[in-house]
Amino acid sequence: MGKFHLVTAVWGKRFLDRYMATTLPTILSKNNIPEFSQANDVEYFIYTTLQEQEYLVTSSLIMELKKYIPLHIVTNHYHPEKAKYDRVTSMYLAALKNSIEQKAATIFLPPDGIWSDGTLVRISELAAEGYRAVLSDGLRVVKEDFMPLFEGEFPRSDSGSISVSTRKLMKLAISCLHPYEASIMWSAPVMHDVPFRLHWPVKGEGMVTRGFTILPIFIHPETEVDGWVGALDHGLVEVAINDPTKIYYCYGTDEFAVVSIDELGFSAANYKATSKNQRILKIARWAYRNATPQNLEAVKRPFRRNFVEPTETRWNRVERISQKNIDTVLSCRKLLVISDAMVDHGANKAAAVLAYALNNLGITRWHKEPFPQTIIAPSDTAFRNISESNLDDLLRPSERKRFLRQFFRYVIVGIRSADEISKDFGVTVEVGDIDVEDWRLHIIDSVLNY
Amino acid sequence: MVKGRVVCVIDSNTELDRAFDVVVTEVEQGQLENAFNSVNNLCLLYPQSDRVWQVYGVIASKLERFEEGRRGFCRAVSLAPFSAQLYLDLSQMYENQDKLELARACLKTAISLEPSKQENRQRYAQFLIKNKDFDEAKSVLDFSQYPNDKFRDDYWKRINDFKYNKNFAELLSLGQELLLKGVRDPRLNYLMAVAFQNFNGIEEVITQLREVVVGMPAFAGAHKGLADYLKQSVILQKIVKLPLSEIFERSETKDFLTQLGEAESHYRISLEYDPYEFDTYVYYGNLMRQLGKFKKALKLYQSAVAIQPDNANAHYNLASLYLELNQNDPALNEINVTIELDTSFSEAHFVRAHLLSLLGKNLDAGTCFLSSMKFQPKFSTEAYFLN
Repeated sequence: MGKFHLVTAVWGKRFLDRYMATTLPTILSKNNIPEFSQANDVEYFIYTTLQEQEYLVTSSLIMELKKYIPLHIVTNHYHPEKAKYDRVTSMYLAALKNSIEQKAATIFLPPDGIWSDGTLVRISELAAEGYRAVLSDGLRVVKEDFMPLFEGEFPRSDSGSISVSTRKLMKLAISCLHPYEASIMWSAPVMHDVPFRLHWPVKGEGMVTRGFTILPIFIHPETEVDGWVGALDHGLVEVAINDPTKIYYCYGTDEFAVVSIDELGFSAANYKATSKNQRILKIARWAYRNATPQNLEAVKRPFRRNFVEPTETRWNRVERISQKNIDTVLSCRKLLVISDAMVDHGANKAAAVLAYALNNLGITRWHKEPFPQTIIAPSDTAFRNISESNLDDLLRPSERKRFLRQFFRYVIVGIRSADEISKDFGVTVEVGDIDVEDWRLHIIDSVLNY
Repeated sequence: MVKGRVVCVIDSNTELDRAFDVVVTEVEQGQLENAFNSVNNLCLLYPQSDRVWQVYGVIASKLERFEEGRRGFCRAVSLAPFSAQLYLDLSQMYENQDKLELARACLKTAISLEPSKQENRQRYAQFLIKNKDFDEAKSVLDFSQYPNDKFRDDYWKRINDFKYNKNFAELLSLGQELLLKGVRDPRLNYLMAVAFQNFNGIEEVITQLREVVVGMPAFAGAHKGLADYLKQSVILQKIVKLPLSEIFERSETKDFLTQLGEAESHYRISLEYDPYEFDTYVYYGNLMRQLGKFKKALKLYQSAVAIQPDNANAHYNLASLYLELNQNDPALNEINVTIELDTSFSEAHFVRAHLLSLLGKNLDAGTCFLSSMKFQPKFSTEAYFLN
């Protein structure tokens, strides 16, 4: 029997209404709280404001909830002086500390989520298998479009609960995607400025998702979590879990599904038209600036959102394609990190050539190997015998093939030391053995003979 | 000629009011040019004071500098859109310039704001009679249309309190109750639009702003807001529509072009009432560009630059449009100005990189791409996604 704390942070009419219309009825379905609470020691903590407390305690759904598990409404961790997301984080942090103190695991139930029936039971099974974090991806839908369909498809029981099957939920959700989700489809003509996950459509069956940041729905920290300052899906897992084998990445919505509702919104200015190359760079650039090591690990795992029985060959094909696309993005990200290192070590011209090639010559199309590599970069003095006009000529798009032939002489698969480079290419290494993550960079004093 | 009302705006002893004393004295002594120079300086010192801009408008009009007068009143109206007197001043000025449609809209707006004020109604009726619209004049003077002032003041105070305390849920609840009772007050619709905006309810914002522009046709900000939201709604819905067709066809189609036509007309009207608003030129320009009307977009972006020559975003828009039109030299000039004004403008470095590569300066382009990556993206243009 596991010990669990369910945690929701909610305040304000907008989210309270959503909580009452979605989260609470769906977690009260048979295979969520009723079944889950029978087999486990469960308590529910709602973090809210004093004002909202009165509304909550008089609600009939809350009365229903209290039939199954003890409920605690906590109001002393609301800090109105903080920014909105910091307020949520401080509530979650307080909840986590409380859970750690009481030796309980935490399940986060954000107030705008719809949970498929059986979610909590599945999480308790995974916890029993020894996992300390369960990560699963939510999907944002447009509230105005989604809610009428949802209410029609999933009627409330007499007690007010709503039982939601995963595939029906996915079909509804995918038909009412939020513009954010639609814009991060790999093939979309526009892309949001913050592409922290990506989708690939599987015609007539659903879509594959790969996310850099994935929501830790369940977490049982191995350590203290004081160092965590970010959002729930950014940084918490790294702080709380030392052993990566204890992190469970859900494989798809057949396991369980979470959908979050949101208004259409006003953020049209955050969506930009993109070509394929720009899109790769945009995601790579976002990852280069923001992704943590755990995020880079998470994105390698495909997540299925299917609304019918999946045709394996079809899904495997899309997953392979998505893997190639992500490899390209990650490789491109690595080149961005490398270009930074080049500038730091005085190879400005080489960095400029690399940046130009990334943006205008689409080198990512050829350079998609994700495994460790060694990059050799000529220093600025190495370029002294090559006029800028010659370099400009070499970088012309019409000369792309010639450029690529030269470029790949500076990229060696596998890790090579400075001595090896010096010996193999007959050059002097000015700054050698610069480790850039799992790749290596050497700055040499001349350009390679062609 | 607009009648001077400089004295009435002075009511306390602040530093600004003491400065106004000087202006009033100059007006009283007939030194209008001096008064105009004084108030012009005040506009630079207090650009967010609607009173300063109002006085600027009054004095400029007295000097028959109608363009400057209009600018003063337009700035004042944008800062205090619910001041009936400002619309009355503007209407007088438009009447003097024979811009009768604009004058009429201003009078109508003033009456919407102060529906019980008899002298305003009489003034509007006189205007209508002068322009031979007798039916409308009769309707304007119909006493049954005069609302209960106390009731109106009471709910307006409550609504304003809700807004001040950011209690948008209560604001909406009271607003909807009043609308159900048949209250017609564009100020109420406007604040409800603000509240819905807080709840991300884009369609509700559009509905409320449609009411505002009917009641206050001379409120340029409402026309601009309505146009913005109409456009955003189309963009967001189109973003959803296209990729989904890869999974399954969505059956519903929306009449996007009609909605965009409506947005265009509201931007145009907004500029008629306030030709000095920088954002309107930019957003209107963006819409024209998105619809492929590049000449019009270019004109609008150029107007934006003329209004705020030190605004890096304005130059960036112009540069990126020149680039789109393959006019590389003016594009390079504009992008250089942009970067001069704001060296950390990531997207500007990106556009400069493209321009340099078009000019064959590929290594320099690479350096610009590096600069672009160094800085956080910060400027958002909307998706070019409407054609």
